[in-house]
Amino acid sequence: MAADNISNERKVSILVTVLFINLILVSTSVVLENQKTLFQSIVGAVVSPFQIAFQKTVDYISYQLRHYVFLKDTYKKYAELEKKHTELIYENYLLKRKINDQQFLDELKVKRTNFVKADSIAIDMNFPLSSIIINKGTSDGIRKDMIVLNTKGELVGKIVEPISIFAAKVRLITSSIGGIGAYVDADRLEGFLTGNNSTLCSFKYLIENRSVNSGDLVITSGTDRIFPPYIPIGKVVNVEKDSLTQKIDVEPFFIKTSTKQLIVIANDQSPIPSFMLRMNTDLPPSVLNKKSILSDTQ
Amino acid sequence: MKNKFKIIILVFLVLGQIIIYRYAHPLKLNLDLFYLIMVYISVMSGFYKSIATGFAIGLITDYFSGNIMGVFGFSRTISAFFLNEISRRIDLKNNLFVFLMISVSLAFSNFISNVFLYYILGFSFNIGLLIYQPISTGLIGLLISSSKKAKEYMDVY
Repeated sequence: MAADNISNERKVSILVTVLFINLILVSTSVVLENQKTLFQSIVGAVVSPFQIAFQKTVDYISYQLRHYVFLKDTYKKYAELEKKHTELIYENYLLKRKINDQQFLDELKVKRTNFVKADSIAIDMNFPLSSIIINKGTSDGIRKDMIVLNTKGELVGKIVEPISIFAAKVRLITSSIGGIGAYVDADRLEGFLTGNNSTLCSFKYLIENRSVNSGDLVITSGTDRIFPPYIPIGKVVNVEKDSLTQKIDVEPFFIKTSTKQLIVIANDQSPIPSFMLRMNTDLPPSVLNKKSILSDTQ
Repeated sequence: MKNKFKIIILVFLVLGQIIIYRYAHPLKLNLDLFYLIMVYISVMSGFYKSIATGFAIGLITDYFSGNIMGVFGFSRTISAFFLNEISRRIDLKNNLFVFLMISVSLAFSNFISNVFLYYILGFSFNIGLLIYQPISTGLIGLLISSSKKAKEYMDVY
């Protein structure tokens, strides 16, 4: 430790001088209302290069650490975010669809007023669940692809050729020919419902990502562009799952009711709105692949 | 070896204080590591160096704190002077005295600054400045200089 040989008077005078300089600095700052003084600029000019150099170094190191070293879990987080993103897109799709569905239901209430009552006059005895003949034809305005319902408004089939003046053929939904775009109403699991000339129709190869229970309602989806949406088809009676897909058997409602009296409606009276057709294409391919919205119906 | 140790400690204190100024909110540290440099120079050096260091460290503290230039310059100069005078009469081998010397002098210095800030800017008396910072800084100073080896390296005898 150093010992000075300086007189006390000298020490005091120097100390007072330095303190006086400080007081001048303070008073200058106050007089100039905290504007930057020359002295402040000098101190800043001396100190700030060190400060900036240090901060840049710290910034560089922390940048490197953050971008290269601390990225251990980034891929995992990315995967989680991607998954979340997909879920949100799908949720958005469903919400949009719900809004549009509601609009469409409102439209249906207004538009679906014209229909033709018909009686079944012949049933193919060999394949009773394939097709029937009704007593209305072109003279009554019956045309191809009109929709046939039972008296409870449940889906029975559609008009197919041949159509004569006074009669027309109805292909039942249980027929092994063709199919219907439909979905399970409980969780909107959508697919292509096909018949096999028996009392059951089935969804095949639906991805087993959502559970379906017996008794769930199945309704038309409208995505096949033939059958309008929201027509009740039947209910789920059996679900078979394997590793990736599930097969869902559906029992149509019309099986247990009389098909003596039927209602024929024109699907062009309640055309599928453009948004219904557009909705599926709104989804990015990645989502379509993951959620199997269209893959099962096309 | 002694010089290396001193340089390492100096760099640690300077960088540490810049970090504290920059990341004061997230770190929640109230330390004045520049003051420890001033204490060491005041204790180890003569009158002129003490006053000059107090003045310089005070102005740097003013610059970093963003307040009026000269406030800390004034208080640190006084503090440096007293440290220079008192250190010859204190047994610096006793860690308690080291801690008290740092803490009390810093509290005194900060009090002077706070008086200035109170009358000029209307700042209230800050318990962090008057109590927490002196104690925490004193503890850091004690931590650095507590061992015999450190005292030996820093020529404290």
